[in-house]
Amino acid sequence: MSGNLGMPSADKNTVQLAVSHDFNRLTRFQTGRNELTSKEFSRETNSILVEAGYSLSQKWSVDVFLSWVRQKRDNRLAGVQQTTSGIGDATLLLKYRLLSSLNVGAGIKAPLGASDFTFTEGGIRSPLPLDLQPGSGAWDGVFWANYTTTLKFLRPSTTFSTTTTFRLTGKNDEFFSSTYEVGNEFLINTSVSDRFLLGTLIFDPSFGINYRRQGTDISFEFENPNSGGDFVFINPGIAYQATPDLTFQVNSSIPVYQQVGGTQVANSFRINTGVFYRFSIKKN
Amino acid sequence: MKNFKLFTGTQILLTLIAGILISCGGDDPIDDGAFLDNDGEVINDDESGWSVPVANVLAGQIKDGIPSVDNPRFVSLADVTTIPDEELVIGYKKGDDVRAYPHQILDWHEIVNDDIGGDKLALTYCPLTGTAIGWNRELNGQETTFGVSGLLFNTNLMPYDRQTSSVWSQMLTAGVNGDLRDNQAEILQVIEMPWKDWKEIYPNSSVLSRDTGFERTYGRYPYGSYRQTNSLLFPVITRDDRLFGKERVLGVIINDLAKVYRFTIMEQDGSLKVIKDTFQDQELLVVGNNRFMNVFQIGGVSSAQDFTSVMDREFIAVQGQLPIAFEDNTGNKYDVFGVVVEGPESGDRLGILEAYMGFFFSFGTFYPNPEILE
Repeated sequence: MSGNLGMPSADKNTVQLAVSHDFNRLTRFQTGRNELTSKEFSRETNSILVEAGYSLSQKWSVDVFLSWVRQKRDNRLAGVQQTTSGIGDATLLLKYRLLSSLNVGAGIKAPLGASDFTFTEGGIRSPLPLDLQPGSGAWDGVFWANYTTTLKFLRPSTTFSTTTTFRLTGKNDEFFSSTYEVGNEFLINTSVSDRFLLGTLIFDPSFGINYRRQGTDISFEFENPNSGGDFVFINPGIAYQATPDLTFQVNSSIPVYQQVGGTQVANSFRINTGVFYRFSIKKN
Repeated sequence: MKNFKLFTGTQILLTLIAGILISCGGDDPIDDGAFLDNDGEVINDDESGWSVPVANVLAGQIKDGIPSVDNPRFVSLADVTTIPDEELVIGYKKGDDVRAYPHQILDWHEIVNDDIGGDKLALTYCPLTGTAIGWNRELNGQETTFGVSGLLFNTNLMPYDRQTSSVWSQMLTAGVNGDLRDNQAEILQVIEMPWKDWKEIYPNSSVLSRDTGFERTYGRYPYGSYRQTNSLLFPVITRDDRLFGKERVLGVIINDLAKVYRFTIMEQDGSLKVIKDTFQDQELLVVGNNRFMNVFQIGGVSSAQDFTSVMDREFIAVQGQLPIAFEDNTGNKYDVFGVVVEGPESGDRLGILEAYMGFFFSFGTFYPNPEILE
């Protein structure tokens, strides 16, 4: 979800709200880069993402990111399905406009979501793995930067944007009497968008490429070999601008390169649909 | 060295409050099957329906999430090219039918239900404790198979039988929950050794095929650096830090006590050696070299019907004739399974013990303070 972080820059006293639904399906059973043909395992994540931003000044702004997550894991061989749902972690991001087209930010991810969901097997209650928990149970540091400019040499309406996010993860010290530390995460999102009119309707199609590096998880002071990896996605999307302040958008992520650590179920498809609204609070 | 926490302190506390704990004095670390924590306190949890402390049973997986191999296929050893020389295999022998089960496959399945000339073998293997134990999967006269329950006790495999769904503890070799609670599994003797040695000793044996019916990345060890570190993935009741936790040792269990044998007791040039030893009033014969070991009962009391004491015999190692590993002064020659392959008692075998290779920490956890021969 780090890829959704960071509102566009806006004038002072502007409030920006984005609400979206994110559907992520993982069905590719992979070892390293190799996809196995087995279809024993799959996962689905449905999330409601809410992000609110407020521009404190022309330079400073603050974003708050909240989520509600429902995760489902399927093992067809064993005929078992496990589902969890709940409020996810919360992120607070303080941003600064360094140059007219360059914004940087830093923040924290607070462990608002639960990380103590269990399952019962043979009458024994046991912890679900952390990647099925709505929250990570850890405080993370978040570092963010965005560069956005128009490519006037192409068309005045062509926009280029790149966003980098680094999440320095903390340790969950109370994961069922043990510790768990999700690997650090690095993301870079680059996209180009343009505008066209269909009659009187305004559309902004976009095409992006996304690279994510996920570090290895550490539990019981032991590196989990089946975690982490390098991922590249292409991100086609389109936005419909209903009014200058109200936009509806659909974005998708299609994996083009996935190198997972060990053996994991990897992404097969992701789609995000949402609405963006902004308004100004006039202060006298 | 770090002592690992129990799964939930609350459960232990509740157990204490319930007055289930009983005191355990003296030097005997185990009292009637009870388990002790690091402070020497008994934490059995009998009222729960389990014969082991429930607080230390947890699920690492869902039931059958790790699928057992129930229709094993075998290929001839000559056709196997995918196993590195130092990879370990588990060997089983029934007459002329000799079979190898590579760790490479066992790491992903943990149990193979096989039938070797009428021997109903359930080869149980726990990658987290490094223990491979052969069980007879005929229970109360009925053939069944074992599956992976997904549960772990002391970070060790807990099979379940498909006849009664009872849950078993691999290293206790006993049912611990369900109808077959407290039933003891009958041990079928296996041997563990590097592939290089196995293929030299048994070049005509068959090898468990990767065609298991499941798609797994056989050959890729799924637990990363687990074997090289002292860290564990799941909690255990107690740790014994006298040796590196993942050192492979041969453990013998008698009267709920363990004795472990290190490879340091063997000749380090690869030549074979036999050692007579006594543990819990039983006479043992340890045979091996710096790459594999096995142990047999040669005297004392055994529950096996066909057991004959041979403790008065002299045993000496035989070099360069593997699978013949040693001989006695009556003219019998024995292979690495302790079977007489030449001599007046050809076909007989030495007494089988509850003995298996495993990581040192696991013996220290299940059978606290094991005696170490080094």
